[in-house]
Amino acid sequence: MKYLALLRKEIRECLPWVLLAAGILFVFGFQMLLNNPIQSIIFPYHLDDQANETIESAYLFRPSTVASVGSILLFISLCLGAALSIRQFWFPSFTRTWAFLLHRNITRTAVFLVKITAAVLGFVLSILSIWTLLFLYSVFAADYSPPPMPHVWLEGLFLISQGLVVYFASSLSSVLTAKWYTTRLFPVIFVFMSLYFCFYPKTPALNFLCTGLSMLILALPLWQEFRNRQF
Amino acid sequence: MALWVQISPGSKDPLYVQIASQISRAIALGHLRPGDKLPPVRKLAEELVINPNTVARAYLELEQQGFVASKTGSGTFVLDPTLQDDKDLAQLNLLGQRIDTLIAQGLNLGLTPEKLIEFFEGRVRRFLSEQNKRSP
Amino acid sequence: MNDFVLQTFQLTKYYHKTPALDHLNLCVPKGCVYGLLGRNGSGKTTAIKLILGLLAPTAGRAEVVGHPSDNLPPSLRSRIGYITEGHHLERWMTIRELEHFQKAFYPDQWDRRFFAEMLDYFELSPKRKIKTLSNGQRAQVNLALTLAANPELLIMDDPTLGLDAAVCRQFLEGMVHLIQKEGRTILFSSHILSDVERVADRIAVIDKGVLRADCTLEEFRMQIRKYLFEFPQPNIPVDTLPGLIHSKQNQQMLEATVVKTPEEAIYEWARRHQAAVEPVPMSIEDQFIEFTGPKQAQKLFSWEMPV
Repeated sequence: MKYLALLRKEIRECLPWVLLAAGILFVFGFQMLLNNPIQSIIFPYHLDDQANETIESAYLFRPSTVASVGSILLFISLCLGAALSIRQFWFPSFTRTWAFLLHRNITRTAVFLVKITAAVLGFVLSILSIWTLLFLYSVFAADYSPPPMPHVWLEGLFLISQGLVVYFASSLSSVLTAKWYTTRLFPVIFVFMSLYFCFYPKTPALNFLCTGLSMLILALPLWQEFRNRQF
Repeated sequence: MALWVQISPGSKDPLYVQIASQISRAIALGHLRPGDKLPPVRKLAEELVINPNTVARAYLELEQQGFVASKTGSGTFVLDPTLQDDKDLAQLNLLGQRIDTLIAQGLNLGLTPEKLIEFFEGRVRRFLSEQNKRSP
Repeated sequence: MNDFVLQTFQLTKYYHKTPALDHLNLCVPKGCVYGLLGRNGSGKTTAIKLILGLLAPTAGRAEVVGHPSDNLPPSLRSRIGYITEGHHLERWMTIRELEHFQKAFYPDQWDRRFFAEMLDYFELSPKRKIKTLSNGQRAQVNLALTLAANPELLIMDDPTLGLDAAVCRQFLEGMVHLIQKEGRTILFSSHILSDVERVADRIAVIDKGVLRADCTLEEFRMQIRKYLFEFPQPNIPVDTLPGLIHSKQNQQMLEATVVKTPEEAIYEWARRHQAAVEPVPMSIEDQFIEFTGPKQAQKLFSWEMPV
């Protein structure tokens, strides 16, 4: 009962940002799909026309119209990740409501998990849903040739998950109490490195594994720091 | 029962002393008669917005001075002021000690013993005339 | 299991090289209304935060009902009400939403009717958003939220700082209402000494992180006394006055505050120096100010009340 109440509160607090992200993605995504039936891809995975089948099948991405949406998808995900982390982990310091939140019959770990859940739900219910909508539209409703392959949806999921990496990094940075130019800089530097390394592998499994590892490397110290911090 | 207790926190007398002296004054002036029940501790504490222990302390003080007696379960009642044997001897001793302090203070002020006696007599007379003024 | 709800053992907290608290030993018995007094920056807030496990000590430890403060079980926290100055609540919530949120954490203890009565008394509509409330109104909501959870231990850190007299009075009423119930304990710090005098059973005075007094309110009031002396000549041997903590001299007149000195000793000293003496009444504020007074006074006498 209390966990639900807490989850409801956290979701309600993230809602404006979540809706904003969804709204922007919806508007710009559809606009791109409808107005720009271009074949260009904004990814480093650009394949030239001479690529043969064997090479193609090794790659996650294929040239497709919907891939052009990828850039704003990535951008919005990163922004949402940062926004949610600021709202959840930095804002209470600003409004001095940590004592109100934490002096309760609930462990800090539980509070931490509820916040993460709310953030993930925010991503899923907004960006992931809109992305899925865009994807399905481009497969069934739009008139593209060739229609995008299913693994393009996975590509979108991968981009969205980068937003979560930024979320963890930004949260860790908020919760650390060191000076901004010392330990606090670590998550920021790490996230840049991680973004590079996550994009580096050419197979989906490895891409997601890298992303998962990045999240873990950031989430564990975040949990520890949150548990022990004196607010 | 017309009992009106006022306290001023932050003044020189501790609160329980203020309450006890106001009640004992009310008894002496006849506003509270023997057999009258004092307000329950909780009720008076709520009204005055003070710790119930302070009210209890005041009632205890009054009981030690012989003004009231508490009956567990019923409350605290005003006693008949007519003297009752050796319990009152203790009260008289206490009164005597208090008077000694006042005497010492008076002498230190520079009053001669004769002037001091005159001063005390005057105060007793004034107290009694006030009592007569207020109650028939 | 002893009868203490709160205990600290040599509790010490350093911020860099500055001691905010220095080997504090406090015991708050069950059923007590315990007032923490001290000037700004004396360490009261630090002590409270350490007791609640919101800060980690540099040395020493604190316990609540026998549990170490740095690891209070959540079930114990539900029995502790905590109000601090500022009364920072989630600003986007309405009072009703806050009530639902709070209620979810105290399903068995929540007193719905009492909360509604308090809102009524404060003339606050449950539909109002916290951000539209004034500081005083937010304090009222915070008080209602905390008391409706029926806490066994109420800890308040200067809850009426910056609030008007009416709200201060309401907090007192809330405290008196709580103490009337069985087995409740209140620990509070306040800068309004007359409020402390109204409700405290025991008080502790913390001065620059050090405990200077820990006694009943009555003892504190009775043992700090001021006298006015008139000497035959201006040469006054002030330092020989037993228990002196503060003095002011004007030619032949000396106003001195003493601590724990029997009245007879004062009159004896006055007689010895052929001085006239007269007691000067002191309010609790006077007593507090002079007890935590300037450095000279503390050098003369470092006093701790017996427990």
